[in-house]
Amino acid sequence: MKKILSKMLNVLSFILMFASFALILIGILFTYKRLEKSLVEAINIFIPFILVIFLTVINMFNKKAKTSENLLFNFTKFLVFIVIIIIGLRAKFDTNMLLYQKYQINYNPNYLADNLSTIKVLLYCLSGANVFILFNSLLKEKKLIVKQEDIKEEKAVFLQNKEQISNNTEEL
Amino acid sequence: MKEIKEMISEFSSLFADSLCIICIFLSGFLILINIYHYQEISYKINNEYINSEEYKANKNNIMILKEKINNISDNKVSQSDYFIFSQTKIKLNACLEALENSSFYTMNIDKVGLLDLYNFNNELTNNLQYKCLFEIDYTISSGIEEYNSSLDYDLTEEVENVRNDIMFYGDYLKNQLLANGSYYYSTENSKVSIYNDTLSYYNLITHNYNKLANETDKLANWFLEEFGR
Repeated sequence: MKKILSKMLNVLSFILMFASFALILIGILFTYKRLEKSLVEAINIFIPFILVIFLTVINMFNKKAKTSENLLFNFTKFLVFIVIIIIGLRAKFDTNMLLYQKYQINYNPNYLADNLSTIKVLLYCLSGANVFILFNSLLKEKKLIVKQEDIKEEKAVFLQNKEQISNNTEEL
Repeated sequence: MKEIKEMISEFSSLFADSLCIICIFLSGFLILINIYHYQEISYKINNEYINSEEYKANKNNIMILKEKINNISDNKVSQSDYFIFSQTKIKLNACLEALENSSFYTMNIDKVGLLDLYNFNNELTNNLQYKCLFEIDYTISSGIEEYNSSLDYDLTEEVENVRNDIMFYGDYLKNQLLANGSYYYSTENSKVSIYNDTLSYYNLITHNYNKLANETDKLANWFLEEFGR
């Protein structure tokens, strides 16, 4: 049950990741168009998104990390992207926030700007958790290799001892 | 070596889980505060003022004044006062028409929200107070000075005080209303004041419109007394 739920959340969060990125991109485009600034200055806003997408791709290829079966991590991802989507939708569609009316661009850039810092914090924390999970999976891989080597060593020692014993019994 | 690796592995899983928990708490907080904030700013109050006698009287008065002003002829107006008469008549008609067609005096909604109050306030401060108070007062007082008219006009100070009041409270309302995009912490005590903010802004706007209507009425009645004999 846990595995099924975490895999479902993994798939949903993958879709929501792109939706949240699109909403924030639309917001930045509206804001920077009004201010007549170039998008190059908004790179620091997109760095955490690029980091999360990059780590998601690594998770897909690194199946030994089993991030798709980690319920806590997938639930956190799902919740974070839901929050980003809520913020993006409210900035675009909530006309009760009156700054929406002031600039006449059918968007509330101040609300998005107020929340961008928390969005960055959430995404960096998510990326950090992902990095720790991947690092943990690497340590566990090495452990397995060591164990197999140990078993081989022990087997070789056992066989050697067996040969010696059989030689000794023959002599006797 | 094995023990160190185990320890590092446990610490990394601990850090991963703690970062996830921090994210969950922060996301949960943001979701809840957005829900509360949405409820606060979409709250609407009953539009009771539309049924009040004051509102109905002011609305009727605009039409009555318009009729009376248009019925005044210029036969008995002296040459020195003719400029003041014609210009004041034009300005009064423009003012009364703007008031008649304003969103406040043509509203027919049961519930009033922050957006409606913002529009009423904008119209009052950007358009109506200028047309109905400043322009008429300036036309009369500058006309009297320029043409050495003998007309008795002493409403300038009163009009200026009313204008200053309307602009002061209008600017205050505009700043308060534009700041409604900020989050509020909704406790029981603050809920009472937050949900009554819309009501207090509504009362302030109706008070400002009432002031404007009364002052316009005084200016129009001065005109009718001076030129309607």
